[in-house]
Amino acid sequence: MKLTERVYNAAFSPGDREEALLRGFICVGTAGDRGVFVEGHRGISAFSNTEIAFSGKGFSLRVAGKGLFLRALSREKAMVSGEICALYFERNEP
Amino acid sequence: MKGVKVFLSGDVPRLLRKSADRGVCLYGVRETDGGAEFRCARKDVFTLMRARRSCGCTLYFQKERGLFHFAGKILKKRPVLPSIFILLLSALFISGAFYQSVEVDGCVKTDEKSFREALSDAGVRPGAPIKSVRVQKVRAAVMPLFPTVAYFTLNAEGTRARVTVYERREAPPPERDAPCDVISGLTGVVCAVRVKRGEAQVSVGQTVERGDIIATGRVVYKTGETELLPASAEIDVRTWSVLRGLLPAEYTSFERTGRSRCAYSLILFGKRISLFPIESCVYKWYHKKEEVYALTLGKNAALPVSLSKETYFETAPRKKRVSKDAAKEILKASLSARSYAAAPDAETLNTGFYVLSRRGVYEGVFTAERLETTGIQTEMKEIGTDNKR
Repeated sequence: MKLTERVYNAAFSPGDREEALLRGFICVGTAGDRGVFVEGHRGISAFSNTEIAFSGKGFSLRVAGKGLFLRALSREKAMVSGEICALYFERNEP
Repeated sequence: MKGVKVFLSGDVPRLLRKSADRGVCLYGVRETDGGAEFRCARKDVFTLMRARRSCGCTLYFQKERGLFHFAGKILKKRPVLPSIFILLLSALFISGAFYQSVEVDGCVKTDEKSFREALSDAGVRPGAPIKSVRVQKVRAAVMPLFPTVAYFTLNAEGTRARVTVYERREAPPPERDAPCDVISGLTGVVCAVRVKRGEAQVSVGQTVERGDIIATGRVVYKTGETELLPASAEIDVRTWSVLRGLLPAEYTSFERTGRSRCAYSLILFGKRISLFPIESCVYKWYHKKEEVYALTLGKNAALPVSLSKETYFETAPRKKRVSKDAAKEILKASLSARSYAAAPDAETLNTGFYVLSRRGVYEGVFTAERLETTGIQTEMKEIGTDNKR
């Protein structure tokens, strides 16, 4: 199993993963603990150097760590760099 | 990522979301105190400003100024023309830093070819860097080889070295046939008189003063006839001279305390550029030692860049006393040298020396008794006029 796939599986529970995939919110991969590539986000809901939250359709993805910054940010893609400690996947409140 | 650097304060996530919605790509988004900073493309600046209005954020665009930024922009857009300009400028600069030709003027008695060879050996030749030629060194190397050359100047006119030679001129021979008198140049007692032509005016044992006529060219014969001759004579005179010299009994000696500091500077085309800021007065009293390391290309080609290292040694003043023996030795050496320099050809018959100490000063007195020869031809004066100088 590829590293990106392992991280992806660790970040998303099996049920959420399927739903996330269905809803088009995809975390493409990570570069060790130094970067996360996010695709299909719908904007940034929180931004600090310890936590960056991406909002999606029904879900949000939180990247926690130290010295986090957005290496690049476009409409659908983002690259987070820094010392990444955890990825949280949260269901948005209805 | 190059582009415009933007500082943002306010609702950061909102502006990021808005700008992403509008298709603006942001790079290097980092959190700062009270906001964030990022870079974006120049074309997206107005889109960001429009996004800012709906978010209530404050944006500050860092302006890029300065020569390097301007040069970088031009080089990026039009790389060929500025590169050619810089290359041409460099070529012009480099070609202007070396001698292209050497011109020698004023060689009449001196062989110009050998003079040019000597100049070439001393470093003045086509292709030599202008800044590496030191005129004093060239003179010191060339002048001893050519006794006919009295002096020469070396000037750099652009890339041309112009050497103007001034040769020695023989002094015109004295007019031997012109009638003249001979006067004494010294004051003393006459010991011997030697008259070759003319009539003696002094005798042995007589005292003469400086300017007295010792032989005249106006010869009156017994027949009453007067003839004007160029007189020629010399006399030996016994002279006494007293020389005095003073030496302070105390002097201030500056001795190193052991502390030192170094200052490095770059000498570029004769201009000194300090590499490290150092105060102009390092210590109150100091000895300075400078070492210059020139950057060279081979044996004779020196680049106009050199590194200078100045070492400042701190010193402190100390009062010291001169002993009487040391003062005696110093004063005797100094006064005897002065006495000898005053009359190097004279025969010294007797000398005396003593030192007096008074009011913090040593006074040395040197007496010398000498036997000197004098006789100066001078223009004949009218009868009855004083010939003393």
